[in-house]
Amino acid sequence: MNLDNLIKRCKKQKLDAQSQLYKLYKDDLFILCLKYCRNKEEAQDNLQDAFLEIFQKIKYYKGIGSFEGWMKRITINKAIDKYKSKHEINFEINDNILKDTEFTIENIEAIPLEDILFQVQNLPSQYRLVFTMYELDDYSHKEIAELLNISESTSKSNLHRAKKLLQTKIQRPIKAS
Amino acid sequence: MNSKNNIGTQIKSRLKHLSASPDDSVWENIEKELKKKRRKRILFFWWLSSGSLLTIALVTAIFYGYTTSKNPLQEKTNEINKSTTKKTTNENADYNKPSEKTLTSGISKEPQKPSASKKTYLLESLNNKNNSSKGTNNLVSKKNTFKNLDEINNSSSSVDNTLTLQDIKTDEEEELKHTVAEVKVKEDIKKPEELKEKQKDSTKSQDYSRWSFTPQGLLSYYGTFKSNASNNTNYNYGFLASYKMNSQFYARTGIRLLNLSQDINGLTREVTYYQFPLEIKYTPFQYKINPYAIGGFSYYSLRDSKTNSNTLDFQATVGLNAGLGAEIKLWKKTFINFESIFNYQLMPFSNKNDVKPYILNLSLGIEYRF
Repeated sequence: MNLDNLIKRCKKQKLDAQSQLYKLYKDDLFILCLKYCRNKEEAQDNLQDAFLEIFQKIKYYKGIGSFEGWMKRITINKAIDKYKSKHEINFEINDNILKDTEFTIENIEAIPLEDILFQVQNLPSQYRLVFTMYELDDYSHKEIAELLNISESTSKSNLHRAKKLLQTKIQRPIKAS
Repeated sequence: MNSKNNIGTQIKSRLKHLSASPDDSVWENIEKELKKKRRKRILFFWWLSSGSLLTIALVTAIFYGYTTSKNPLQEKTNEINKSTTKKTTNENADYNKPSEKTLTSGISKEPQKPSASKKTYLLESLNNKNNSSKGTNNLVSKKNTFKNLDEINNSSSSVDNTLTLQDIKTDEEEELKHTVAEVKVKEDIKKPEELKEKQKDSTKSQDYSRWSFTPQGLLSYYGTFKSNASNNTNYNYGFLASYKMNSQFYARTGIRLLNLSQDINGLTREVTYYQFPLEIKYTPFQYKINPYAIGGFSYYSLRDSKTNSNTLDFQATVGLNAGLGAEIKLWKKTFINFESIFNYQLMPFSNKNDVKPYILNLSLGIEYRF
């Protein structure tokens, strides 16, 4: 069954089609959830909520733009909503203390993927969301500001702080070893 | 898009190689939620359609129910009386039409006596009815009427074109006498004949059977509001007896043997109830495929129960019933019934729990009326 037929059947709320769609995209969306959430459990919860919303809102998908992109947006928005509802974002910080510094990690290839992911997940929620949206999913600061209800300068400073934290946390074990 | 610092690019390129899969439990939870939503949607539409039909039924009952609950024999008598009165009024109206005679004599507003031809017609019609009538009392009164009519006829023929006011007044009185006598005769002749005929007709078209019995086969779905149940469809049977209260309302009761089962999260429950429903059936229409609504309650007497859960013990309970159905006439007094009845059980367990069970019965029955 091609994707168009699968979407059509999902619009008719057919369980077999919903199951197929889940199997097709579960891994990609789960990886996305892992980057936005604090741990595997939260990522799985987010994936579950995202798929339920996808199946509910699929009737509104008009076929304009990438279907995968549409699903990714729903998944990211779910994560944002979750942390918003927990009041873990929307705090403003003083931007003046920050300088436009470049951060790099030496010999990043030697660092296990799980460790990098772990450090990203362990960032404070607002930093993690800003870092992931900006660096990994190519959102602009303007878009991030709108989605997180923060100012653009806050988004920039959050990104700066996130990078600084990541550099410190990822680099430290390498240096120690 | 702004230029990006190295650490972001580095992490992005590394995380591209990340591969991970969610646990199987994620889909299981999604599937459960989807089924729950679907069930809620079905129940919503079921309640909506039942509620709409019940509202229509109630409104119809308020407007028409009470009028049809009268004695049919009384209704027929009233109808005949009405039609007789109407005819009399029409004939009187004819007499009141001004004639040329009145106009020539210059007294246009005075009522006119019946013309000779009209009298002949009345006589003929009376004669016809006289032939068909056999009662001696009627004959006496008709003879008197003929006498009166002859008098009127004679007097009218002698009047000719020279009418005076006195003549007209005399004619009016005679005409009034004639009309009263005629109506009386007509009523006397018509009433028993028409009543008999109409009663005959009504017995042909209407079914006056009061009682009926209905053996039923049921497909029972034993569901819960609070969790997902599976393996919960069973075949059952029952018997109903009903009494027709009026043309639209029936009271019915009976017994159903319900073998029910359900699996909830690995817990298997099996229970057998005797269900004793007490319901009102409302049939607002009289179509060939005749829809109806059912409402009432049931007493569930516990016959047997098996469960692998120590926390739940079944008990006898009562429940609320609401449903829709349709009946189709097979033969003279035999009907086939299709019904969908929703039963919500109140307190089915001896101890507190979150399982709120309901039974959705789809039934097929053969109803015999007598």
